[in-house]
Amino acid sequence: MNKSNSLTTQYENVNNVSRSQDSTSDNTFVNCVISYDTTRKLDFLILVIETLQINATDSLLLKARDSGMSGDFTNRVQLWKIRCSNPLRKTYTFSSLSDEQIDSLVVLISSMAEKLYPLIRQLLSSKESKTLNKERWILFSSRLKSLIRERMNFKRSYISSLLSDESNEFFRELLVILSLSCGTGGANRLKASLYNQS
Amino acid sequence: MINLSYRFDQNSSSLELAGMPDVSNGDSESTIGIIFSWTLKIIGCPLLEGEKEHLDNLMQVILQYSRSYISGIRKTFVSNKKIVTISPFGISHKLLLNSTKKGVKPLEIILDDSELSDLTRCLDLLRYDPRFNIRWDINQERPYSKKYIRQNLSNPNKNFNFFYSFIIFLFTSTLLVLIPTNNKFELKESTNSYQSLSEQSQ
Repeated sequence: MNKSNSLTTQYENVNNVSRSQDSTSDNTFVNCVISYDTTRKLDFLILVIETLQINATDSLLLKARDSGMSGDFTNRVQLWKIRCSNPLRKTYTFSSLSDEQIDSLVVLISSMAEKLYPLIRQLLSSKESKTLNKERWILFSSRLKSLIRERMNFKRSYISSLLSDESNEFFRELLVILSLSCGTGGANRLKASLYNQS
Repeated sequence: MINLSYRFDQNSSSLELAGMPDVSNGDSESTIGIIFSWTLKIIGCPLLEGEKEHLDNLMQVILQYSRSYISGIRKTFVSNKKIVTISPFGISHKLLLNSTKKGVKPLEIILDDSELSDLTRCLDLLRYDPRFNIRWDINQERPYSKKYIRQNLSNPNKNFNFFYSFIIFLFTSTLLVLIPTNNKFELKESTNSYQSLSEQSQ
């Protein structure tokens, strides 16, 4: 009897936590607008996930299906159309993302980042062997660059500068974003970074 | 009295909290409502321990820093009671911990990106753990204003095109103003020819 009581109070606590999170997130994003670089940032984050895991799109779609997301995320073409809202793509669709689409993408990216965290951590760590780290970075950057060359409009000066940049500063920034986006707290952090106060 | 202890491990960081349920607040047997102590182990650094107030200060600073770092902003954050400070240190991050005890020197810890994310994840896990019924003194993640981001970007991509064009405009216009024109000479010549014509007619 006592155990069941404690369990129910525990569930109540969980519900209270989630309720308070919902209400705070509702209040937090009042009077906020989607940042101009949101579509670009989200697409590049998915690109990094694809670099770290082959067939990451399948995992994303499976995750979306498991968590009961809308039809936009259950088929490959729809997901591709959403990603084409990135103005730096070869196939830019001149569309923008809705709040719901951003929420779903944040959840997906956050869960994928959690799954790939050990790999992300290895790349960001400065306390491992330097030669090993260098090799990892060469592999990672070459694969990411080949994906960028394949999908992005390299006539844009931004893309050509990314491809010619040897310091991989932007790629490191993307990895940092992914490492700080894991879990519930990380998803909230990532979402907050995609909006601007108006 | 029920003593509870929970631990959060993330690669290089391990945070352990000990406490008990706050019965007056209706906490269940497995929920911590009052914290007695906490210890934080970061690989390669001394063991950190303290009271709830110290943990609040640490959480304030680390979570605010991570929030700004994810937006590309790297700036120093100091906790409300100035116990904890975090600031950028090259490509790493410097965590400065001031002891509340007198005569104890501040402790300096250098964290790289992976250690910072480990620590942030530990604190996130604690913050959203339903087994804790504690009001943390931390801010919610909020979007920044465009102005704030522009002012604090660590690697500002400033657009100097307008400034350059203005300088070029000023330079060329000053040049054009200062170069002497030959209007006077042409005028003289024209009057001369007129005079010569009139003389001829006479």
